[in-house]
Amino acid sequence: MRIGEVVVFGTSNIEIEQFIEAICQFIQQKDNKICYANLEINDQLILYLYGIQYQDQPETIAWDMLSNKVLGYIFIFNWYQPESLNQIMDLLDYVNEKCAAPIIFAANVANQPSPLPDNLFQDGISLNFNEKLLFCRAGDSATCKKALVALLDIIIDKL
Amino acid sequence: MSGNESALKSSIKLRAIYSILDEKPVSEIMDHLKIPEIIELQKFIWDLAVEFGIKVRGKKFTRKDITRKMPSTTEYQRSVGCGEKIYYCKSTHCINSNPECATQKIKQQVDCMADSIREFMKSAKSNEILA
Repeated sequence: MRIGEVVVFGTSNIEIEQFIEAICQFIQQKDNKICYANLEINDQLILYLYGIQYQDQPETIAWDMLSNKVLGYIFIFNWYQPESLNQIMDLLDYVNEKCAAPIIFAANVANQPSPLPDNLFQDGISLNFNEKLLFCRAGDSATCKKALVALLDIIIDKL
Repeated sequence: MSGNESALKSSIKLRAIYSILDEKPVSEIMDHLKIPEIIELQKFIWDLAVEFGIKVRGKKFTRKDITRKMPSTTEYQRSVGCGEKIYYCKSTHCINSNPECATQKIKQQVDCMADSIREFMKSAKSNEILA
């Protein structure tokens, strides 16, 4: 069985766990900064999702352990909390310098309306061939899975 | 070893999109950008505006849907008292010789493009309600 690894970064543990649970149904392991769950695609492929809370400087993350094998990253942030976005920006610039893996920006609108109409950019807004912005509701399976699918689509398109 | 080899960081593009959807001027994020970044941001916002326009208006979309709100090159040159040839202002000729003036013009254009994106979104929302 092949394993694919996806890292989910966020500034809020609750948001990260809601996002991962919405995709994988339950968190298998967690401590105060990292959580883990898996998603069996079929009998040949399983995805491991690692949720990492980002609060400090990007240099504190063990990139040599993460970036070699990761399929891609999902950065989840709260669209309606600008501070959440600002924190993610610092990490984004650092990741762009270190790794070539694709990134999905999952903007969590929670229970508030999405700024984009539902009939526009359902598959996300491309920043470049490697990165996209999507809106989701952490805890909502359909929109969170869409973010994961968008990541996989970028990977497949690059093949 | 970045996946994005352009002069413009993804964080700036993300901030620009945030400004557009949050109904704030995109020009506010441009003050600390270097010239190559400003040019790339202008292109990025233009491409995004075209993408929005096509998605919302389909075959009826034209460039004028975005440019109609922008001051013409002649108008802009007159407003700043510039006596250079018009093609200097139309293209990015001036960006290195008169960076402040060229940047000011690009800022105006980018804010107009952002406005057109918001109009396209409003149009899409009313189509959604009517559907």
